[in-house]
Amino acid sequence: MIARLELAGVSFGYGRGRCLQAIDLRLEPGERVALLGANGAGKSTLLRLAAGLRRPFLGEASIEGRPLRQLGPADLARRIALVPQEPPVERGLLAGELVGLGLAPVAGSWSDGGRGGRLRVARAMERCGVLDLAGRALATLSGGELRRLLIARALVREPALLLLDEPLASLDLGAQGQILTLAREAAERGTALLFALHDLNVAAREFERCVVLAGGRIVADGAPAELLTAPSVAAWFGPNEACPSDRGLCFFPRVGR
Amino acid sequence: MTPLDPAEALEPGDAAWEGRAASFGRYAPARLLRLLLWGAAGLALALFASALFGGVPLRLGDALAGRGPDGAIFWSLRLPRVALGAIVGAALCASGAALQGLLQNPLADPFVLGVSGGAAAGGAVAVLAVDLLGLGERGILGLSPRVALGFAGALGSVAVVRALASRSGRLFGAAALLAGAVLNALAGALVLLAELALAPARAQELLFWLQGNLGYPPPALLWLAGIGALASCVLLALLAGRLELLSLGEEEAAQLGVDVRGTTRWVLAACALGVSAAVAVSGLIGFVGLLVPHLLQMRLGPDRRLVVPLSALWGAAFLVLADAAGRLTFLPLGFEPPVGALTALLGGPLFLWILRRELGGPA
Repeated sequence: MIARLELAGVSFGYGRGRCLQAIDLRLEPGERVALLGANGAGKSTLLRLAAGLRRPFLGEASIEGRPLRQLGPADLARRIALVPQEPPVERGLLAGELVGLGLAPVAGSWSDGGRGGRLRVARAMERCGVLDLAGRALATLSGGELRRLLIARALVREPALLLLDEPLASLDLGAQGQILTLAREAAERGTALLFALHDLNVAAREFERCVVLAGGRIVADGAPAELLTAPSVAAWFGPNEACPSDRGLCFFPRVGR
Repeated sequence: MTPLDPAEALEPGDAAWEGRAASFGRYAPARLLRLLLWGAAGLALALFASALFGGVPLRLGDALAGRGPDGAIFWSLRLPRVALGAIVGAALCASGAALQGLLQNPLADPFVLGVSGGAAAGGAVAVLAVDLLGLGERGILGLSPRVALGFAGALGSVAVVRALASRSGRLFGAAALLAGAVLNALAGALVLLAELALAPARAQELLFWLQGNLGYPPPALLWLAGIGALASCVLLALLAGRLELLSLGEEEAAQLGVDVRGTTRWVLAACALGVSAAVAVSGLIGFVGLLVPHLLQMRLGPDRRLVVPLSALWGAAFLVLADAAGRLTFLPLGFEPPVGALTALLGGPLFLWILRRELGGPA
């Protein structure tokens, strides 16, 4: 089977430093992978490389067997969607308009997509539970609502590869559940998903495969039950309290005084 | 990924969404077309009315037929002036709307990239050269040295700001605004020095130009400025779709399929061409490039696909009408105020009133 995303020996850095080194990563269609790592480990950078927004210094990134550097921005955007961590620049857009701009890669920047396009936008918003917000100004929405709008915008183009940069940050439990459900559904439709995450407990419960970044390298890649042990988590993420639960270990921050 | 098909198979529940989905956005190609037609009609009306009314009342039949003095006034004085107003207004407002999107800054006006300073410095150098070195008034391509050097200065300043504010092909919006402001300040000092060195009459001429004026341009100048402004407006209108995505932020635009560097380069080039042409022929007509795009945005929403092309049409109409209003209002006093002063006088309070209304406070 042709991999959805393949990073082969990829290295990258901003300026002179190297922030990612010799990254090898393969995602199959329909696979959901949690990308873990401490702050500054290079998760966002890895997602940008996978989206083709940055070019690796060394190695090759490819999607469905085609090197990203051979694809133009529009070709990349049709295949890959990145849900950014930051909300877009606020300038008076309505929620429905923001999601509608997700049609640009498939319909062109001048089209509103016509009836088919509007249906797609409506479906994506319905899936993300934000259809009722369509006429609201972005400035009036909460962080969680914005996050779901950005996911809806990514789903509009039905990408082969969906990259999410900490999509659960600052969301309540209900909203987190909605997004994880969306991710499952997208994976069932064949989309490959790479999730940058901080919540180890969610990673352990919800994902079958975790990739851990530390010091710019992939230090572990496998099932969370095997990877996430008390000593390894302490080494990668810092001091913690590991508590047993009925489904493996749960991790909490260690609080000193 | 299938292409978008209007008859894409309906899923259960889709029909119920359709009514709501239709009202998702304020942009639709059909709406743009309708608004463009309205804008064109408004502009035509503004041009006609402005050319017909002035210091001397004209007989409509004679004026249109080109008969007698009425015809001469209409065709060789008023129409060129009105056309110049339209050209300048369109170029300034389309560029303003485009730069507000590109730099993601609502305060960006057409002169932010150092254009006003560059043009002023170029014009000052030209006037100095004519005055001190006794150079003839006939310059390049039949353009006066002031127009030619003003244009070159404006174009050059955009190039300098772009070079200063970008690294490895990427333009940094905040740096561009700062570099432009500093360049404008430097040029301001230069112009002050030039005015000291000039004979009072010459200094007055320079000042008059800098204040922003629509005069009675010779045909060659009108054609050149018209071609520059038209090329700029058409290019910006064609780029408006990508500009809309770019106003979300650079990375957002890139992941939505926009060639960020290429688009930025073309938008800057188009703005530089249009604004430089406008400034060279009419000096610094401030505020329209900020006012008209904002008024349209308040009415139509922020979508650049609507705001940029419509700014060109309504900007042209606005400046033509402001000029006509100035000519007529000050007629009893026997002089014409610089149109730049009028646009600010007319537009400033209007803008503030609307701003207050938008904020929901007492007007």
